[in-house]
Amino acid sequence: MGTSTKATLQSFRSNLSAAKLALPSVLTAKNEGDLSVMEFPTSKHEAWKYTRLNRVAKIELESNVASPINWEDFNMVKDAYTFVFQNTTCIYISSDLPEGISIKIGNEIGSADWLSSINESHVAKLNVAHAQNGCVINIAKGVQVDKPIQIIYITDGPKQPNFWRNQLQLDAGAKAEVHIGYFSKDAIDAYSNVHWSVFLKENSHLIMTKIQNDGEANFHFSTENIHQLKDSNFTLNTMTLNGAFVRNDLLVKVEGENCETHLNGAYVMKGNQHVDNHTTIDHIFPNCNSYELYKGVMGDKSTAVFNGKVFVRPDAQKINAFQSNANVLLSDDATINSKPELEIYADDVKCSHGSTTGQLDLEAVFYLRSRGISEIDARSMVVAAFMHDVLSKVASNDIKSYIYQQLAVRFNLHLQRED
Amino acid sequence: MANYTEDELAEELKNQEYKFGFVSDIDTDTIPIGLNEDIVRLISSKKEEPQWLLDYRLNALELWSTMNEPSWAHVKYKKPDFQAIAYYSAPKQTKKYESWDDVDPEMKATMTKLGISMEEQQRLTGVAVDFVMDSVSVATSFKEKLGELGIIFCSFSEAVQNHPDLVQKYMGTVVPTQDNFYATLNAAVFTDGSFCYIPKGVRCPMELSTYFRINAGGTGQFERTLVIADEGSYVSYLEGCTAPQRDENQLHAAVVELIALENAEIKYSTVQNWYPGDKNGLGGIFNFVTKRGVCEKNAKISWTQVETGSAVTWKYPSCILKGDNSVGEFYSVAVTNNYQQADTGTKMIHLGKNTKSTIISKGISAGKSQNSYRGLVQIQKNAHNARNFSQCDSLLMSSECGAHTFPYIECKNSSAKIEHEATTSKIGEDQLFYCKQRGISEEKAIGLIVNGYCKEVLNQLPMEFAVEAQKLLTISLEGSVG
Amino acid sequence: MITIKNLHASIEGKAILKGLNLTVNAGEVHAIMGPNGAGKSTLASILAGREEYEITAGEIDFDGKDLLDLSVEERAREGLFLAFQYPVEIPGVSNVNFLRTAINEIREHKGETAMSAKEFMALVRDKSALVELDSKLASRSVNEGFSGGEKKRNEIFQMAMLNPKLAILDETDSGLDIDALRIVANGVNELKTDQNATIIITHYQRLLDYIIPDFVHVLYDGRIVKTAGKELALELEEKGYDWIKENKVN
Repeated sequence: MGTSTKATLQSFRSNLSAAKLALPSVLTAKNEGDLSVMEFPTSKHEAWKYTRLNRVAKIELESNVASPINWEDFNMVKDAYTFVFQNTTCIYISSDLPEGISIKIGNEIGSADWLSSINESHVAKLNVAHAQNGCVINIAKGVQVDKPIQIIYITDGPKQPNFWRNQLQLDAGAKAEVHIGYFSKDAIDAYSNVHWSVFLKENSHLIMTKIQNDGEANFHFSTENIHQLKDSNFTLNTMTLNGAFVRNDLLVKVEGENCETHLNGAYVMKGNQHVDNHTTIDHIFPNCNSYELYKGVMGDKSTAVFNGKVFVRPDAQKINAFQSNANVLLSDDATINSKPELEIYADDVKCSHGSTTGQLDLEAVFYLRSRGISEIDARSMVVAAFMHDVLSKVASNDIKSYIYQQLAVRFNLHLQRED
Repeated sequence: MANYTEDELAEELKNQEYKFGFVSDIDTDTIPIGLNEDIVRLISSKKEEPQWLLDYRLNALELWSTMNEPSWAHVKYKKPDFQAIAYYSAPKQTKKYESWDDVDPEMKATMTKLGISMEEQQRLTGVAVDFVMDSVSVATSFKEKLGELGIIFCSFSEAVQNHPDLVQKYMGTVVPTQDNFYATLNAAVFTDGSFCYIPKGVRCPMELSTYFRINAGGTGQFERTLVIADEGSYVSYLEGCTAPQRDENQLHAAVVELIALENAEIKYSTVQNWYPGDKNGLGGIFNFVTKRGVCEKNAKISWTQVETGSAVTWKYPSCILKGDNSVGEFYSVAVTNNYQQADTGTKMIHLGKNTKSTIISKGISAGKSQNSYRGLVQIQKNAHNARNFSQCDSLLMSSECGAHTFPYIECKNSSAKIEHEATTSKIGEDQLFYCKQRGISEEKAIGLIVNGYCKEVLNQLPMEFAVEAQKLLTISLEGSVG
Repeated sequence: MITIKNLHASIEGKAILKGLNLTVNAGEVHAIMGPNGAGKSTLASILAGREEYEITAGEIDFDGKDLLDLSVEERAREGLFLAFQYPVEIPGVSNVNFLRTAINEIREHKGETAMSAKEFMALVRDKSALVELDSKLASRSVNEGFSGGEKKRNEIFQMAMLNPKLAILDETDSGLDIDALRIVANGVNELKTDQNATIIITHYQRLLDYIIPDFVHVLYDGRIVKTAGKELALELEEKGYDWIKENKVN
């Protein structure tokens, strides 16, 4: 096993299969060359300053032969068009797809089906090099999908590598709600790397909710490249509930006027969990609004990283961009590193960000205890109150129930439903 | 008092003629350009330094030769050619000044042009001034009066000669030799600067002030300032900077170290007005400065800066809050215009319990300039009950400038409370209209609004220094109407 | 004092004023009333020089000068004052600094020397008493943290300080309680001379109980459709604006 960092990315890759998806040359042409001279980034790389990859680099991944499972054990939504991947196999496809939605899976996807969406990170490049399966979804012009689309990814078996690559396109005026869940089963030291390219055409409307509930010994990397055209409205809720290591790289390019962008994130952590949320909203066109709210609670020895960047390009006037990150540390062994950034090159803008870090509101805990509520319950109620506003951004009641149920199981957090 | 209006700022923001761009005709003793061991030895011998300091310099030079210029800041510039700089330039002087009267009349004229005529300053304000022209400190006033209280305020070179024990004990303890590329360079080639020691329990009765001036062409300025406030003492220290108008870029790489021992307080204020280059971005000072202070128990360090000059600024006055209950403050106004670039901010490192820090930063970008706030708030594991509040606001004055905010917040203690807020916006159209409807011209209205915007910071400047800041920003009426 | 002839103005292509005529002489108080959306505040904005409105036709003579030719600050220096419906907050800029700058710019424009600090402060004391404005407010930042009533009184205080030829009060009565209304009106009355004139823009009649207008105009659909004496205000209060609309249609 190589000891130098340089060798590590290559040795890490030596256990991985080449891509099985047919990808276009615009993605693949330079990819292998780039990767061959790349290393795992270290803390000297600004984008990885607070996230060490040593633990990931050391894993010797190996593919498992998975035994059949009942996907419904992982179901989040009662009534949805559902697709389920177990490792690199698609094990379930809803048969009742209505007109206007087209879905291609795995080898049904031709290289021409992929639109250009480049991301230069090593995570995205690894995905191109090793993509095994995934889906390409198109929602036709003006179609308002009547039920949510649900896509479930299950990582099954120890040291399992999973590289999924996906694309979602909403044609002009289309409207959809997509719920994505990442789970694992019998997995330890498993690695999943999932890439989504999302294209919103004129006046389309998309709500995407990502539930990250991998097992507590697994590594998860998620990259979303979003492209918004004019008058579109995009929401992404990133709900991180479990996973030893979770990295989210979210890049929204606002490529038209009058767009709205909402990014919401929640992370509730314990043990040795490490969650790193990197978001960039790139305002290229004028007259757009973006709103970002990320909130987290860190217990035990967990570490959270938030790096949210808002770019306003020259001539992208009349931009309103608001960003907020709030954190509660429950333990002195927990760490938060927050880096909200603004990079503004236009003058007629209103941009702001705020970041707060503190402990639980002990006054509130005391107040509840003085009314006879146990300390444990009081604390969980106060944590729940802190998380309430970001969790309430999740529009789907099924998903909300799922999140509340998971938090109750894992953290003894009992959230009050208001709806 | 003079009828201070907002004209200066309007000028500053529009088409500024740099007022301090004159070159003084003073004979200088400049050594050959280039940087190597011989040059370092030459500087050291010219200054008749003890062996330990020469060793210190040579060690720094060796370290520096292995280092790379940092590139993480949000600035773009042509890297200086370190072999094309003369590292020592001094007004030619055969003997040391015995008194103020001995000072070269041309140099006195220079100071007068800078608005800091010593006689006047001495008479009117009682500010003690140390004046550093190019590489050496040329005059220090009020030495005797301060001496009675045991306060040492002199040039760094004099301190090396007369108070070597203090210099050796503290120099490099806050900014270590290997700290960063420019600090290391400074450690190898620094030529002079100011030194200040306030004894235990002494409250320095007057503002101590240093004026830095780059005069000679082709030179760099590498001064070093060391301020030690012994237990229970207080000092307010002021620093002003100007340089002639030249087409070349000149390098200024200074190091400032502040040491606030138990219960001591240091207030350090800077009005930085190095030549910013012309309207087309030609010339100007590269201002790459390392400023840092350490606070022992119950100590406080407060940095206030009004930055309007330099072509490129790279500067993060910082506080290491080592002692329990210590306090760090950073108040900053940074104005950039034309092609100026500033990447400035602070680091607040909380080590002790109940430590508190406040950051107020106001960035104003005009022309085609780029203005960045970069800050770090770090709460270490044992910093129980640490508190930080940061407010970073940016005002945009043109559609071609940039305003950026890069705060780093790192927290390892659950009892800490950190609040950071930042806003970026254009100057308010409705505010401008309101002013104009009252008969105020657009330029003056901008001056008023900007002045108001920066008020929280300007209010931190000592009264004696506010006059300097007025030259660059503006002052409001009630500040002087009793 | 001011003569407005056939004024047409639009914003973002939408016509707001459609041939407005109005003459105000020195020593007169005119009230302009009308339903919401009639163009009352547009008229105030245009007179003050807000740039978002496009003047498509008409002319305005202000004491022998073509008003539309003057910049916002030149109009102010010539003696046109607008009491804002929504006074603007300017953080960090004290009222006194703001006003002293304004006064001295106006004096400079008239070829007069700057006012001394002493003279100025005496004037501040004098005029703040007129509108019962706490002198502490004079040293606070312009309108920042002022209550609605304080903001409006501050507008009249500024008017007193700047001593304009023509004052336009844009909905100055909105949001005022009865005491503040009385104070504001009293201030305006005290400032009235036969050399200056006032245009009061209001939706309601109640301010006119305190400031007696010489003329009341009804502005409707971008034109002045009716002009009469002070009794018209009472009639409007009683009958509303609908009868004017009906009359106009007929």
